[in-house]
Amino acid sequence: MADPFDADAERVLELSPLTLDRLGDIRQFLRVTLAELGCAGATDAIVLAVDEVCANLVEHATDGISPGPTRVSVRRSGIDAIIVVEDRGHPFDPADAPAPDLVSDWIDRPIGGLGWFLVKQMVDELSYDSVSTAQGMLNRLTLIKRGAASASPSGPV
Amino acid sequence: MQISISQQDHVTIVAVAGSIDALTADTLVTALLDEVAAGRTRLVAHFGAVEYTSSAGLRVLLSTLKEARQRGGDLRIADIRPNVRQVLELSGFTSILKCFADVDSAVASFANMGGNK
Amino acid sequence: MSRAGNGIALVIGSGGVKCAAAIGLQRCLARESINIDLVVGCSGGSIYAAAIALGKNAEEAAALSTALWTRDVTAQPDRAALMRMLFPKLLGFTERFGLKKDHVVWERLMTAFGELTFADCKIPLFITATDFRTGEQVTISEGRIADAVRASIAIPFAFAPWEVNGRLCIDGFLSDPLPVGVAIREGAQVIIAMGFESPYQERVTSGGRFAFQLSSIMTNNLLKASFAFHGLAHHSEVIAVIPQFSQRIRLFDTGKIPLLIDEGDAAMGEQLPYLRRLLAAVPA
Repeated sequence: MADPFDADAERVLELSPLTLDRLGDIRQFLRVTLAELGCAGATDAIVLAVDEVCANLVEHATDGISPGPTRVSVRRSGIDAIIVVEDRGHPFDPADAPAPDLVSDWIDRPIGGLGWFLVKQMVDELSYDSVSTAQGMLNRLTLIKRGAASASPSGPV
Repeated sequence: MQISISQQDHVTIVAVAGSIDALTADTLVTALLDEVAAGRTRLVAHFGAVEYTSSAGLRVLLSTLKEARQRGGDLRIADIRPNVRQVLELSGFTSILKCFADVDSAVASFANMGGNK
Repeated sequence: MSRAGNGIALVIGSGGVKCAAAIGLQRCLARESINIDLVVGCSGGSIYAAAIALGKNAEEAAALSTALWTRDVTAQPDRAALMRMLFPKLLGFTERFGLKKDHVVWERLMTAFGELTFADCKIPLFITATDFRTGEQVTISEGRIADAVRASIAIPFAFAPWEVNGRLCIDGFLSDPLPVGVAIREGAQVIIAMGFESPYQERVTSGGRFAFQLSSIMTNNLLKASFAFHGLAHHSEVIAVIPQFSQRIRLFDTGKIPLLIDEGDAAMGEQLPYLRRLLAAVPA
């Protein structure tokens, strides 16, 4: 069994597919894992950020169907926590894509960016990259919470 | 997430338990807007058992707020846990809605609201 | 809202003596027999918000303004305070720091408001300041008006922070220069917001001007972001009344008060047709 404080140890949760009803599982996975890695103090912030990211992935899936197999990984690097959300994607055939929805619900529009605003508040670094693979586009979002292992459990930020 | 609804002094108390996220938000907003549509526009959301909310929960609060206020009512929140409160503060929501330490003071705050709704 | 009425709230933001334009705004509404049901004031705006809430007419409010914003209020640098800023460890720098001598501004406030409290107001009054320790907006709606105004106008470096209800307060503009949120929270239907952008420097020739330019940049960005958020969050309309000042108005230019009042009156006049349409649409 991996040493919980091994800096290279990575914990992974695979979701295939990623749907809204899995958000609770993702949050639970993060809470358990962050506690094991000694990052309990940063749990609220990381849980909220990853929830927002995953909800966003589901709600804005560009081809109208769920994101492909999605991988959430957590590891600790020194006193920082690094979370990677990888959407494995699947072959995208433009012919399958529904017409884009340009008239979004008024409820979503005014604060549509609220989710991303919260993500940026909760973590220190956010980076995105994508790779083209035989299985389709691999989209990777990396979130870094600095000092997660030294944070005291006092709330999200 | 569980919802239970009760009445106290012409105010409707909507007690929520569990987590409000993108999945459960729809159920909550439907329950709240149903109350408003039925004319019960004085609402207290009892958040004592709400463990977590994401931006989905905030959107629920905002749309309920607007609907209730358009009909002369309001949505007020009672007994918010620290982590949930912090999300409300970060997003500026504490500047646009009234928060109370407990349900009784939230209910009492409606006492001098004009009208007989 | 606790009073029957159209649910019209007036929010007067920070802007030094320019806030006197609110007197003109209220004069315009009074002429049209449109009543204000609730008033919110921040920083310089708190003085006029209080005057309106107390039921002072335009002449009384203008006189109050002239008596308050005199050069000697702002022109007395406290030499001891200056030394404390330069030699903090030696002379004891504390968070209650202010360069100007407090007693003059406090005397003026006592002359203007005396022992009047929020309970003496004819309509609900809310004055905002900023908690110096946490940065949170502090909404004051009880106690002595003079205390609330003094807290709201506690411009950093100029006036020392002021304690209200156990919270050390500084100028309200630091948490939100135009506190529309307070009116939203209090259940206002139509909100009339008079706010002022902080002026940008033409030339930066001193440390003071440099600091002022930075402050203006941050304040103006906060003003716009906050106004946009509140505009979207409100279920009804927020009407922005922005007077066009044909002349440059310096921070404490009380000689311009009559002009400011006329400009405020005219600016409100321009929005009257829209306001009337909104009031016709709002359920009574």
